[in-house]
Amino acid sequence: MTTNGAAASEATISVRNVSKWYGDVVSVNDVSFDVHPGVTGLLGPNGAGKTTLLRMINGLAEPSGGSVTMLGEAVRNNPGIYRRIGVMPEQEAVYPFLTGRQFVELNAKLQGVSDIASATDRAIGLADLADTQGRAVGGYSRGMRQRIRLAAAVVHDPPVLLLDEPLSGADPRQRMHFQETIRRLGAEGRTIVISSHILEEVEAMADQILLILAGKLAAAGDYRSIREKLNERPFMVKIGSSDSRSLAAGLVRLDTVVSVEVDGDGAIRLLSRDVHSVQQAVPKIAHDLGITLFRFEPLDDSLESVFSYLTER
Amino acid sequence: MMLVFSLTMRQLLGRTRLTWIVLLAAAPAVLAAWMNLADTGLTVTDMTNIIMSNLVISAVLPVVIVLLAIAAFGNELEDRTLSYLMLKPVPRWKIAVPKLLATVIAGGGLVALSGGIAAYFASDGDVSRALVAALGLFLGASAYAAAFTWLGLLTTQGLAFGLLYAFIWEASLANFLSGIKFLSIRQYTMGVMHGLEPSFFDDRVNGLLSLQAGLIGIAVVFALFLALTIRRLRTMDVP
Repeated sequence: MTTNGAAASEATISVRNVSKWYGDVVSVNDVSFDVHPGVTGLLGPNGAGKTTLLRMINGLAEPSGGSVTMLGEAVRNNPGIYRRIGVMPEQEAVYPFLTGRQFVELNAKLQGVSDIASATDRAIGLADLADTQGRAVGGYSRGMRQRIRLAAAVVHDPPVLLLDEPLSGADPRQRMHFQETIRRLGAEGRTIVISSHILEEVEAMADQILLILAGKLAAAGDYRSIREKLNERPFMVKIGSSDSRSLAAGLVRLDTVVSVEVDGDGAIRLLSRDVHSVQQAVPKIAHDLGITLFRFEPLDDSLESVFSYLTER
Repeated sequence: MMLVFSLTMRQLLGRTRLTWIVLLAAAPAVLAAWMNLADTGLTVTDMTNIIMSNLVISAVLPVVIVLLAIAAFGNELEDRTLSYLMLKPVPRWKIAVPKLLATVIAGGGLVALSGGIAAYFASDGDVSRALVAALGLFLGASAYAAAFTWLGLLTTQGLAFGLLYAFIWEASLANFLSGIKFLSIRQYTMGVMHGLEPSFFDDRVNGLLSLQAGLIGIAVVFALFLALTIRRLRTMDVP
């Protein structure tokens, strides 16, 4: 994934200077990025502009400015491209009078799939809904509706999947099944974009993230790489050892260490701007001082910390 | 297109909506049968004017069609299911045309049947007048359906605007201001019926158009609003 005007060669999705405004309200502001095969998480708090951005990517909404191309073609007013795109929109609505199987079949027929029955079987199996496919969708639980909508989105076996808040309403078991499915589909070489405001969801599935805040692209790339780039604020690392006070005295002399303290549990909490140098230095210092290390744990190497940090900036 | 057509039919003909529409559409037939049996002393022309002009064409036809046509896209917009159709490799006209046809066949068929039966009783069992009434109403329904289908895609307040249009423009202004007869689906419908069967309506009905004018008017409205509907589907932001 590249951002803001970087080379777009072989990108599956290319978003260039895209903006969307409604009257005086700017929903998405001059966003540019490329998406390549694999799973990419579109992450941001509610109201950040994720859904609007995804709707411009899938062609449902016209950008007020900028352009979106997918697989080398414009998406807007290009219905033919949907043969190669599966979209699961944000809304949970389905046609309540159709059974789950009829709903997936409807999507397969509209996609022009040649073998409707086997494509439907495959998609329903992937969504783990074979047992309930004969029930009217109107009677499905929220999680089941999400899964039947996923089945409908993949029934034509598209190379690109755009999923807006796909885990909304899913229970923990469904969530795990869904995450496994998405990881598998991504590993098969598909380009998958998943929007979510829940950090753990994205972290569990996505190789790359696009972080949207207040309609702007705040960060893009591998989330750990992003975190490392955000070196204005130090990393916090928790170190457990046989003699925390002596080890802390040794660590405080390192140039990259901002502060060291021993917490109530007797563990060291170390702030550093360069976690790699600390990782290399700590075992050496501990060895020199004859101290045994029990653990070395980055406390904020997660999307949560990236998200919080960028929100606070 | 059959897929979208059958899907729209299932959406339009939900039990509650269907009940109200059948009751509304059946009213003229029931009234005409009662007037025929009750020996009201009215002439065939009087009964035709009262039932066909004042009731069927001015009220039942536009109301039944507006209820169905607005829902053709309005339901999808309200439920946010239109994206399931729009995110498919289907040309937009293949979404607009079957939705319009479903409205025409469901609503136009119902009004034509009811109006035909009403005309049969109003004209003392004249089958040819019943058939002309049914045909004229079906054509008028097609024009209304095209206009209201577009309206349903344009605004979430389509039903209110549609009813205002039907009662203010069509039932009131077009009835009294002969100058706007060329812009009235009601007048096109009556022109077709009168052109095919001159005994339909007499000179007490203002501004009757010729058969040709009525047919051209209906064709223009149908084609214009179908084109606008397709254009709207291509340019709108789909919720």
